[in-house]
Parts: sequence; C-alpha cells; structure tokens
Amino acid sequence: MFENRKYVIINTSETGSIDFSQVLFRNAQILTLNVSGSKTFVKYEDDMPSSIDSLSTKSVEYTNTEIRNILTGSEWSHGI
Amino acid sequence: MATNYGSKTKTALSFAVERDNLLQCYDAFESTGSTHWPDVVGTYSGSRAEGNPVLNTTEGVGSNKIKYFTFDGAGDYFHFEQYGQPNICSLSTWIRINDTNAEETLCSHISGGPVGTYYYIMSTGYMAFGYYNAPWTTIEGTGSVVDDNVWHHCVWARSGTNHRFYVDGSLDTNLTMDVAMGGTINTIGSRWSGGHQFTGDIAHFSMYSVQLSATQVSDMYEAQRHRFGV
Repeated sequence: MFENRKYVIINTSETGSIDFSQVLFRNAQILTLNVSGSKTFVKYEDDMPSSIDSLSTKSVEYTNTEIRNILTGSEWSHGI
Repeated sequence: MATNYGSKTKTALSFAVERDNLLQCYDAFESTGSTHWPDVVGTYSGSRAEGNPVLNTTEGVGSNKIKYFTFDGAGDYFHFEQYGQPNICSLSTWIRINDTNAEETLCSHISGGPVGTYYYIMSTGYMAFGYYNAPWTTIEGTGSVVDDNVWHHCVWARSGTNHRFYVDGSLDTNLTMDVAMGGTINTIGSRWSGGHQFTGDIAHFSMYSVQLSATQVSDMYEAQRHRFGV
C-alpha cells in the first residue's frame, strides 16, 4: 500500500525550512516529535522534495516498515 | 433502540445499524473521497485527516461494496472536535490490521492535557482499553486475536466499572475497571503526541452513549459481515 512513501527524520530545529506543500503533513504543528522533542519526521511520495533535500540534518530515506520500527522504539514511544 | 440493516446511501449512517444514542459516526462507506469522514449529521464538523490516510474504494461490488481508510502508522490519523464521553459508552468499529509488532490505537486525544482514555489493540492482537486513574491503568482482552489481516468487528461497551469487549458479534472478555471512566477524545488512529498510531484499515467508527447489549452487538455484526467477507 505505501511502497511509494518515503520517510526522513530531521532535527526539529529545521522544521521552519520545510515547504509543507511538498510533504504529506499540513504544517509543523502536527508533526510527531520524539520523546525529547529534538527530532521529528516528514513523509512524501516518490522523489525527495527539494526543501527536504536541502536540510542538513536529514536522515537516510526510510520505508514505511522501517519508520514504524523506529517509531516503536524507546526514543519515540511517548509514555505508555 | 432502533435497528436498521443494510446500506443507506447518501446518508452518514449507512453502517451504523444501531442508530439511537449515537455520539459520533464516521463511515468511510459514505466518504466523498475527500479527506473527511461524514459525521453523524452528515456534515463535516471540523474533522480532518492528518498525514494522508488513503481512501480505498475498490473492494467488493454492488451492495457488498465497502470503502475504508488505510493508515500508515506513521503520521496518519483523523482529528475532530473533542468531546467528553459519559461513563456509559460504547465504541463499534470495523478494522483490519496486519501488524503484529505494535499497539494500534483506535482513538484517544492528541494532546496530553485532557486525555483520560484510549482504545487500542495490543501488540499481542487482543483488544484493550487504557484509562487514567493515577496512574494509567489498562484492561486487556484475552479472547480473540484481531491483528491477523482479516476484517473484524470490535466493540468496547462499558457502563460504570463494567467493560465488555466483543469481537465479531460475540463476547470476547468481560472486565471490571477500578473506577467508572468518561474521557475526552478527538482522534481516530492516534494517541497523544502521535504515539502508537494505527496501522491498517478502518471502515467504520461509531460511538454510543449507552452500553450496547450482546444482542445489539450481534445484530450489528450479522448485518454487515457479508460486506467484509467474514
């Protein structure tokens, strides 16, 4: 279902540089943060958008399965 | 309580079956293809898809046709105007999950402040319900596993401290909570801070201000199971 979706983790400090018309989130307010609040992730389909490609803290691209495995880890699991 | 079988196209209640005492009814069967689910009065009262859950419209034919949303477990959820639930309350939903490694949240509140409850499927595949009673407490089903990539009708039905889980029209687990719980919710598919998001398909979601009876739950399941091939 989500073979075309790609996910990239970035530092929260760079969310102001995202062109939200290029990603599958409406704005920075709805982004999911890690427990410490230092990181978030964006998602898009097919090629990496230019505003994401230009971010200095971007991770490698993850698949849907890979990002879900990351999100279930302790760094991203909020409380219970 | 009135019972209504079969589809009611052009209304937001086609899958509701039980129509009295509805607090909320989101029905992908009636989706217009927008990013909203019609609510109980057929209007879009502030509900919004976040992330980008995908509307699927090709499964089934004729009167068995269903539509449903697929959530990617990584940022997809529905956000609607929050409301407080009474202590007597039931959630009825049709879901399909193919993820055996994680908790799947059916609904809760996206913010930490007013949240007091969450409905979810455990990583073991059993139904469960979490509520805040200083500290957080959970009650967990022990009957049927529902994360097996098959459509299931799951009902959480509580009154006072009694909470009954139903799977596919039958009582799954009869549980007792420490306290009677209300709770405020505003999401489908996510817990607070985007935690434990739902991965899979949701075709229907309706909330009632009563504890649905075993007969009502069975009737709901029997009325719609043919649509889901179960």
